[in-house]
Amino acid sequence: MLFHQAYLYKIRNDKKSMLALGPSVSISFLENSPNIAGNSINSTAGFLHLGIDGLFHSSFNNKLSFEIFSKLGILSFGSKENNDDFNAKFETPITNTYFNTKIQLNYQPIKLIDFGLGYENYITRITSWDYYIGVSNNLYILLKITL
Amino acid sequence: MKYYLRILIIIVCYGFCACESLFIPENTDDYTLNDFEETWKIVDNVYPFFELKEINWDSLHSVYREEAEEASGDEIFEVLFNLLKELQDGHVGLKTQGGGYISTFTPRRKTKDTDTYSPFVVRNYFTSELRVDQNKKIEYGITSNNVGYIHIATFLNNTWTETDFSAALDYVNDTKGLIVDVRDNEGGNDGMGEIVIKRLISEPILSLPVRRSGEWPPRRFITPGGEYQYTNTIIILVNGLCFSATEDFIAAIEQAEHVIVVGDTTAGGSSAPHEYFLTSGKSIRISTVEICRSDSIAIEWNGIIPDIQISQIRDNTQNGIDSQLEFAINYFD
Repeated sequence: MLFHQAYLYKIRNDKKSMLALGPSVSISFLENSPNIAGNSINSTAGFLHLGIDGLFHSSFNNKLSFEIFSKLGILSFGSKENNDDFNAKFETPITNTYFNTKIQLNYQPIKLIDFGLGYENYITRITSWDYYIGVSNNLYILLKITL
Repeated sequence: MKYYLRILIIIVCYGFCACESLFIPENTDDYTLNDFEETWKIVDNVYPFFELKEINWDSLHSVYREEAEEASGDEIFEVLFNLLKELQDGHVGLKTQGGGYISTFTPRRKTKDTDTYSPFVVRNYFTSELRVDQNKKIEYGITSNNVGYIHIATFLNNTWTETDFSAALDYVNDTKGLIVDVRDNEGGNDGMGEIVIKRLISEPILSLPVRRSGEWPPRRFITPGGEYQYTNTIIILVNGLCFSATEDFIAAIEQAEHVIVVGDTTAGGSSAPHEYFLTSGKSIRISTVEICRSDSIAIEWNGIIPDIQISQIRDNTQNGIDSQLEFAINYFD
């Protein structure tokens, strides 16, 4: 993922929780280079996704909160290059499924510092050309200092 | 204002009409006929397989000359394509000036065996990860019953080196038998094949009979070379996509006594193609020499029939089964 921009609008907002939804645009690249001897095996693909993003944030107390973030590609424009062949096409969620979810627990001991512990999952499934499915699961920790 | 706009539109339209020749190249009858006559003559002079394929090239001249006379502009390209297609030769093709190469014929066995070999399915027969050379053209491993496996993806010049092949051979050297898999290898340069042959033969073998300009020059010997030779039984795995220099490789190495060729009949296209440029800037690629198996049967069209015929169909591949590799592995038990 090279670039992602979402425009979120609050659907629900009270003291303890907030739900926002909105359109997003993102650019991503894939490079397929398996460790296999052969010709025409490597390929690269680039995508411009239009999608929908959602964010849910909830606070347990002043210091502890959690948030769920997800994005789903709705319409994509993709191009693939394989040696000298270049192929570009519009894709739907059926031919190009792009889904990303993030769940994050935040702890704010003092006002300017945040600690986070999260899990992030990416699913990319492309059937426009050769079948491709890629899934990644990530655990991460976060330190945020607000200056 | 509208008046000036109209004047401007008229001038622009006129300008485009006047520049017609910039966008549409001028094609005279002579120009297209030249392409046709040059192509016909080049093929007539150099093509070695008229007799083998029972092609009456003279009679095709009159058939396609008529079409060339009627062709205008780019239509000549289609006439040349159809003329060259009559040769039914996988090495033959043409291209426009600056354009891409278009092959005029795909051997039937190439089409039949497309997508039957899969490197992913091959991996089902190994318990450890296959090793791959730095340029990803050679991969190798050892099966659980101690059989060496080397897949050579191409014989294109400089796509791998003698050192790369030596590394593969060193790895499989202490095995009871060796599988050299050249399926889907569509050829390249005979010299690359010879690098492999020199390491796999223990006695000199004769090079293949080659006919150039109607002459059969004396055959030379290919002698063993390199640090050592692999002397246990070797199975060469082949299929319908083996073409050109790969077929030369198979035909040469099958002379060795400890070599068995297993799989499906190869494509049948062994020749040294040459590119000829026409006056118009187009070019054609034509086979120029005839290369035969050691028993003097032409490889062109006939392909190489393996010693043991084992077919691999797409359904098997989709189900994760490689019948040809499976046979080769079990052969050594």
